[in-house]
Amino acid sequence: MDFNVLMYILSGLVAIAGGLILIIAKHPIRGAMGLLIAMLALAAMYAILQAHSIAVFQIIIYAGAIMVLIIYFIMLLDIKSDDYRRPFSKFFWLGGAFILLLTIFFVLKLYFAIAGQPDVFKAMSLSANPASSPDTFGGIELFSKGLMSRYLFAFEFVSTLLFAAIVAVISIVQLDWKGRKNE
Amino acid sequence: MSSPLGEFVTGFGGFFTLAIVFVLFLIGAATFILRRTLLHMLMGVELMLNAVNLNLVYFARLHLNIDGQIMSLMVFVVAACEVAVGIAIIVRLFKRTGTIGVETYSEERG
Repeated sequence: MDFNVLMYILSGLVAIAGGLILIIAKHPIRGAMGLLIAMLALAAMYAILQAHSIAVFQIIIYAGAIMVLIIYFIMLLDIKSDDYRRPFSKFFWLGGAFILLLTIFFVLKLYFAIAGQPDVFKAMSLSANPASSPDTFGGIELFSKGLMSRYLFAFEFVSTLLFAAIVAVISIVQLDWKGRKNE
Repeated sequence: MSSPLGEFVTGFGGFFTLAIVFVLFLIGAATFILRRTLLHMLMGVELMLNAVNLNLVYFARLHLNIDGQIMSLMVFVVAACEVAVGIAIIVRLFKRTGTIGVETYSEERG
């Protein structure tokens, strides 16, 4: 079997294992480690799917920034173990029934969409963009050309969203300026 | 499309990727619904966003169209905003109540 294909399948299985660690582990630091494993495995899958820039962003932004923020706050809050003694909600069976319904819905949806058609993805790839070939697809040049031309408005809009998030965070935590007391 | 990876992407890889995305999204949704601490719920949402990203990147490769990758960058930014605001809310709630268990909030209301 081809090395890329083997690594792709292995990374997918590792990602699912990381997700299972996230939902099963009692302490959030273990759950965060499971999520980190899943994110690194997904970065490997992106790289194999020729999304090199997205793989780099996944490692820098998700594994490097977001997960560090989450782990930092897990340690900063120093939560007593009472919160973690019972990992699951008391509405476990209600929520489980909802998840089961969601599973059945997705499985039926996927079944009616692709079952019995082993060539469905080949048929999709026939209508692929004729301007690009599989050998030259991906890479930062194609990515940034698209981002800076067709998606320029979305890019600027998303930067506005980031700014709004910064303002929201500052107003939520209510920084203690000049010794003024809150509440 | 003659390379082994190209054949994999247009064949079995599609079913495999959809299965991975499906399972990861369900695990994320289950974490959000079933766990009882706010930090776990936040991480469940992160896992769901990651699963959707894999879907976008896979179909970008299948259609050889870069738009899916650009959209997944937008999802990154939305996830970053969501984590920042979510963690700020968690810190504020923890300062007020001393706990992050969501059931405690409804029990201690008043």
